[in-house]
Amino acid sequence: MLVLESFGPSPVTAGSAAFRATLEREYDRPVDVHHATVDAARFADPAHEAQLVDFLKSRYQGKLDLVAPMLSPAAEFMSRHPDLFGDTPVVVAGISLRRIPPGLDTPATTYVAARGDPAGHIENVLRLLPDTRRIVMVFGASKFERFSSALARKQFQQFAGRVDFDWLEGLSMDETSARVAALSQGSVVVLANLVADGTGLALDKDEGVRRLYAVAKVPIFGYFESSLGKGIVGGRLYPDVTLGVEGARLAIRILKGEASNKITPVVLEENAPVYDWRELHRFGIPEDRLPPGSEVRYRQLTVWEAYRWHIAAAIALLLLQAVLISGLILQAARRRRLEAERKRTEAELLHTRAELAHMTRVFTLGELSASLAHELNQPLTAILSNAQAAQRFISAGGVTDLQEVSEILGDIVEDNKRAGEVIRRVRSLVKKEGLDAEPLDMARAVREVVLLLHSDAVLRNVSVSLEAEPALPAVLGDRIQLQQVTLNLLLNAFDAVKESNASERAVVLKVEPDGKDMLKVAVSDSGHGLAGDCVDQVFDAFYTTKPNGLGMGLSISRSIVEAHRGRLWAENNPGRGTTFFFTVPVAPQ
Amino acid sequence: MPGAPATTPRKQLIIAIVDDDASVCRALERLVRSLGFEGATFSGGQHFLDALSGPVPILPDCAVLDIHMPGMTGIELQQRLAGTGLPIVFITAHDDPVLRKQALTAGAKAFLRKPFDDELFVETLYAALSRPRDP
Repeated sequence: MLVLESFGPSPVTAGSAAFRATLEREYDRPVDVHHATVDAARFADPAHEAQLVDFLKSRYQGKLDLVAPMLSPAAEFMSRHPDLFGDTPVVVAGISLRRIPPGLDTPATTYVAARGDPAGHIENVLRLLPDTRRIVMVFGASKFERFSSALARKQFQQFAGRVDFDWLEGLSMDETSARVAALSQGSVVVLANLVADGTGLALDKDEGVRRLYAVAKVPIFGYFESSLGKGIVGGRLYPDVTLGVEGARLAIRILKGEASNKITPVVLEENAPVYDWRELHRFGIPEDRLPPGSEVRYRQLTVWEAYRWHIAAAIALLLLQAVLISGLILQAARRRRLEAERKRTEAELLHTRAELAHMTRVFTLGELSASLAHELNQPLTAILSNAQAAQRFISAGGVTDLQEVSEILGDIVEDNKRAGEVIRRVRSLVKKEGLDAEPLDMARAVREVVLLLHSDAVLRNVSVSLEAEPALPAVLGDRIQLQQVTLNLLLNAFDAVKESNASERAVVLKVEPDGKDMLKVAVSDSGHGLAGDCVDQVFDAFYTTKPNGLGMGLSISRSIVEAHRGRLWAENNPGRGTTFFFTVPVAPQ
Repeated sequence: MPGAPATTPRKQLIIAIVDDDASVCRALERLVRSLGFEGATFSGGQHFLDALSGPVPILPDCAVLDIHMPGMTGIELQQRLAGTGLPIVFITAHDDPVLRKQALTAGAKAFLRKPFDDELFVETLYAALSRPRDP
């Protein structure tokens, strides 16, 4: 097979490259492909053409299965020499429909053609960039290009008044580049053909667009689909690549045995408009200006478009984390607030409990006022009677018995101390103090309470006994509050035995160790005992069985004991009556 | 200071003092002695009853009883003494109107509230003693 290039020999055009690639890809048998070129960009003179004809004739006549002229110059060359290869089938891979030369119409020849629409390119420019004032047309200097240029000038007259044209043609590539680089806003470049510059230098298939793109500050529009992606904005492009592909397919059919005269020439439908997203974006051309059915290629996905799911997942993760962290922070803050609140409440509770305990003590002592008066009246009676007896002895006969007077004074001093003790005990219980834990002798504290209630016991006809083991360890506690508990239990015991016969009204207190670390105080009465379900109920606030009771005593007592890390409970005795126990921790050594 | 009975007693009258408070007992014994009587003290009702019916019984002319005492109360003791004709004076540090009425109804001569002035005690004692003893 001979591929007859229009330009080159090297580099080949985009269509030619596509032809070769498709042939290799879609035809499974080896093809010996030869190349020749009419080299239209350099050699357009008849003398050269004659030499080429001779050369081709001598080298290839009768030896080819297929001749494939690429693009118009080669096709035109073939049309001028229709007998060059005899009956050898000819596939023209790419020709403009308007430029099909009459001599090409032989039975051996078939072709792929496309419709070129130069004016359509200008309309495309004006549609995308309506503010364009100047369109700079760039053409090379080859005969082929001069022909194209002339055609364009004629066609573009229709745009007179809408936009001005500048024609850059026949210039060197450097000069063309410089002129394009100097363009400013309002101008656009339309690169038509650049296969050879004004110096006669043939240009690589993409060289023109590449070099202009490197310097241009304005949009570049091109004719060919092969230029898309290399710097042109796009439009309804001439299908130079597709012509190559379709030409190769026709060639394959012929190589496979189809007669070329049976193959209808292929005329490509107009390409759908296609654009380079990067250029649209670069020049701020909104996509809604593109004609309907446009395809936008080279879309550079924004980070969001490219990594939408990653980003969404990351954001979701961050949000989740943020929510989690916020939650944790809130929780921590809430915990701190609750902790502070708890401490404040605890402090208030302690204070309230101390207040309540104090009030209860005052109330209890108020209740005890009769027996306290009795307790005070005994020594006062003795003092008064002793003093008056002494007065009478003295006034009756002078100081006759100093021993007697000394005894009287001794008794007066003792009774005075006794009365003072009663007052001290009462005052110490009425004292308003918070929990003040210190090592103390529990048995002694209990004994003081028993003494304080001595008169009450006498008045109620209750016998009270205290059994304390000797040498008990000190406990850690608040004396006043623990005495309050004892006082309360003792008074309850007195009440419990109220109904019993006088001879059976007995209350026994015991102070003894409870394990290694606690001391236990037990207050047993000989009353009727508690009903089974009351053993715990009695500790509820406002629970009382007494007509004048507050129902606070045991509740406060339990809170006091628990504040000491001890325990207060009640058990019915095996025989009769009830025993209330409370424990208090032993003070550390 | 009223009268001088302490200096001229025709007969040494015996005043029994029953009180569980030893100090009060001692003080009242001195007081009655300073008034010219003889005082005998007892720490409780049973103690006193035992002395009355012992092998060498004492014969008091008047009994001064505390109301509130462990074991036997003054009121119970009064009941036990009912019929003996012994004049009884109650002394109490705890003035209970119910007990006062009960005691006086049962024949007590007086009901004194501790602490009491010696003048009141003297008058009360004499008032109690002026009554003739039962035959």
